[in-house]
Amino acid sequence: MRIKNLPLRAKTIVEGFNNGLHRSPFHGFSVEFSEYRQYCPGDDPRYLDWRLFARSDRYYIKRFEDETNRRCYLVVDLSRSMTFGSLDYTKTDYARTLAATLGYYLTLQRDHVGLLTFDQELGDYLPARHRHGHLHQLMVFLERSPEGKGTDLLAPLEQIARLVAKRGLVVVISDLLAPVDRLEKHLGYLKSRGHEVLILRVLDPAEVDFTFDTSATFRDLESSRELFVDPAAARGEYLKCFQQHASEVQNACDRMGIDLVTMKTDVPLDVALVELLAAQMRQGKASSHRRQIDSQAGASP
Amino acid sequence: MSFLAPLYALGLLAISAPILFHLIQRRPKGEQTFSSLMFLKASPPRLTRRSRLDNLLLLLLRGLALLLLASAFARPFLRSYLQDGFVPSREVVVLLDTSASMKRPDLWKRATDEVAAVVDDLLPTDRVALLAFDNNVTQVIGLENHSRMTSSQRSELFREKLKTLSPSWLATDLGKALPAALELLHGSEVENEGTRTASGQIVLITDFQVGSSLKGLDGIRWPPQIGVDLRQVVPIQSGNASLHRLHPDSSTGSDELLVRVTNTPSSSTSEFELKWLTDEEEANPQYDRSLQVPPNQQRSVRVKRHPSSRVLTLSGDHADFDNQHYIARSTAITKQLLHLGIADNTTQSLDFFLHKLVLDTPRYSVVSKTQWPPANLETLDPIACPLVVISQPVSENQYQPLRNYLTEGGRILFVLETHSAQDEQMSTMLANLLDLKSVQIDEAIIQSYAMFGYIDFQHSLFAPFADPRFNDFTKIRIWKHRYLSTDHESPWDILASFDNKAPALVQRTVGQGTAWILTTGWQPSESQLALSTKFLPLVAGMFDDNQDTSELTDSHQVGSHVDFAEASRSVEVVAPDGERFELKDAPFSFDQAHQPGIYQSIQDGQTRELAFNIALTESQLDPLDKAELEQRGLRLEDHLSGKEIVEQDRQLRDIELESQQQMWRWLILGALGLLIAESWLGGRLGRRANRQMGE
Repeated sequence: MRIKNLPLRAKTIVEGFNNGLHRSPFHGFSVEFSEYRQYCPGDDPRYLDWRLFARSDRYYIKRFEDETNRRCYLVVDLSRSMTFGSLDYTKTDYARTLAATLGYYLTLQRDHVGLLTFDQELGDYLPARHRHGHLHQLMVFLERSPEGKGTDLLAPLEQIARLVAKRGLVVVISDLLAPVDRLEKHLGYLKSRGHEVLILRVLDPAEVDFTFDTSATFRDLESSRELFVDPAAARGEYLKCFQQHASEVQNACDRMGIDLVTMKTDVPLDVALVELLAAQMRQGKASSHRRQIDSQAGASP
Repeated sequence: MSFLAPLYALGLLAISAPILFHLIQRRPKGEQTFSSLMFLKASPPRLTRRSRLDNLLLLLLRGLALLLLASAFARPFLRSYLQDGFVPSREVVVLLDTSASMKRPDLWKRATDEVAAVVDDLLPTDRVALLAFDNNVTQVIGLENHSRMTSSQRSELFREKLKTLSPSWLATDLGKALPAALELLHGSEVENEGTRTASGQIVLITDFQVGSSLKGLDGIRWPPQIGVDLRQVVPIQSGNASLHRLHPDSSTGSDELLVRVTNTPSSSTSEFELKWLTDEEEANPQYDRSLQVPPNQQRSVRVKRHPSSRVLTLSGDHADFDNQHYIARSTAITKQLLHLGIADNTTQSLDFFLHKLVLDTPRYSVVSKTQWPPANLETLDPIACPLVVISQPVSENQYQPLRNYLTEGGRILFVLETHSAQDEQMSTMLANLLDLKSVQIDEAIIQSYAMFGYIDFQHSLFAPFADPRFNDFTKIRIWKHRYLSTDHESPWDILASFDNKAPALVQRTVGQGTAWILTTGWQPSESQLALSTKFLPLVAGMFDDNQDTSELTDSHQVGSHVDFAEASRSVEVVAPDGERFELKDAPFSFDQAHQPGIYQSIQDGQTRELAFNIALTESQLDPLDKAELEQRGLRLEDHLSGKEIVEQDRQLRDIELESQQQMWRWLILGALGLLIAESWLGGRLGRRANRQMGE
């Protein structure tokens, strides 16, 4: 976070990341085989799998995961709660860098990247495109300082669903500090539209471990509510509630097949990205493998 | 122990502050922002050592310092030095308004009650004087009159004296009354030098009307220690209309009078009636009239003079005291100018121009008379006939009466004209009448004309012409004149001479009388004198050298001075109530008119009527603004009763005692010492605590 310029920061991370791995995690996402489907009259005969026809004497349409270029929407939470930070930088800084890095990386891959920022209302919306200057505009939108107070995921997710007809990848970057029931409802809505949803949950170490030691009046960044808290007395209860909330969020995501990755802000971003992509790839393989089994099971009579 | 400012002792409450600060559970200073409080619950603050009293000694020192500070501010002093029982004495001068406006109903009683109340309120040691004032100031009771009386005896004395007083008919002059009271107080101050006197005060009891004169206050530097307590007595009904006559002299002999009715601003009525005071009840439309004057306005009307009544009354307002206006019937004094010469009515004669002269003044009218041959000269009276002009020589048997007339104060002007000057008898008459051995008269030979060359402007006869605007005599040309000579040393004063050095007008004093010789005539055949503007003033100066410009009017204010002509032997004035005032010594001046009415003056056998009325200012009854007094440097204050004075004096002495003892200095020093000790102790305890924490 020592580099103040957000595009430069994103570029540095991506380059280091590329140099270290020499492979792109998203490469192949767009051309990857997805499933077979029985041919119906009217389907484009170009997609008939002739090899399978040769083996099985049946017409199957070979479906791929997507078109050549993916559409990825970065949904970034810029509410007040994201301005908290026990380190030199805040969660907002971390989330911005994360979004910028992803955006830069995808642009390098010639993928379409869109952006939607939100707090309790919708912020800026940038449609997913790949053109000259698009990345710069994305960076400019990301650099706007957070102003809103509350967090409301419903509006941005509805917006995405309404605006984006084609399915794509929706990456939600937020701290998810909201009641679980509402969260589940909103994410389910998005998932039902066929989008692939990835949630990057950004948390500060102080939020995870409650590392305060002196009694103080705690002020809520969003509602400005004040509460006198003695950390020594309140820590146990806090950790219990926090863990419960985290597990509820995880369960909800699992139920809906949404990937949830928790990113602590004290972990360097490239390391976090590697972990994230590794997990994605694992999950992607697992899921594609699962889909393959399912499809084979479904395809076999 | 007493305190000068006991309210500062409330500062002692501050002692509780440190204790309270120690005991109050303080809100934690720290504030922590956090992303969301959804997982947090409020935990009650724990009691710490802070909530207990840590160091009793420190607290005690601070409390003591505060105690000493609060006591110092309360200014303590010890009253044991006080010699109680001392009662201050002061001088009070009560000024009671007895002017005519106090005659209004109920006003006088209120004023006297006010005086009694002031006197009852005084301490036994106080000295009080009572001055009654209107146009003059009268001391009714002096400061020393009751020095050995008790309070009740003094009150009784004042009540007795008040019964003898009543409002006069005179005007109000505060400019005289207040300085008189001040002088009385000042006089007593000098007497009391060395003894302690609290202060002097003037209690002014008046209706404080607009018409009061304040002129006398303008030049006075009012001493700040003497206050004036103004107690204004207010009538039940305000407003007044007044009546006075305009131009009382100009309408002499006229059938109509011009009168003005003025209504005051606070008046509530505007319908008035003017009526001559007669026996008849009914209004006579020929003489009486009604008129409307709105408040704060005045109206002048013509009223026909009533043949028998001399009192014009105004009705319709609330104050009656000024509603009668007296109007005298004018009768002017007549004097005589006697010409002993040939009567001639042609425009070229001396006599003609003499008769054309109008020498009337407001004091008298002049009748010119020509007599030839002279007769009854023995009856000539210098007062009734101040000037005799002789242009023809009289017979020798007339010398003695003329000489008597001259020595008794008469004045004779000899005119040497062409015809008479030739007569030997003229020289003889002049020599005889003027006590000269011989007088020679010769006709002057003039080429074209002569002019006045020298004029003695220092002389009273020519003094009116001394001003550069009037002193040009060169326009008067003299065609004919005579040389006048005598063998007498310094026979006469030359008042004017011609440009050829020949005397033109000479003056010689004989006994009490004066004689002038004019060596030319004033008719156009002799000179241009009669045609010039100098002629009339010159003869008028000879006729009456008193030239009194002050008019002897027949309308006066009550209490004012009336000056009668000097040239009177005796003057007697008869008041309306029949009282007679004989004025013996010149200058004759009458100032004893104390009530309005028609007075009679008997002057050299002639009777005149003089009307005395209330001063016009006395009718202006609206209250005066108190600021008028303050603008003139007077300090207005409330009159304090005896008890209040004692209390005030006690406070003054407390302040004095406290300033002598100055205990607050020691208390402040003590507090400073305690604070130093507290700082030292606090520092030491703090260091010890730090050391323990370090370990």
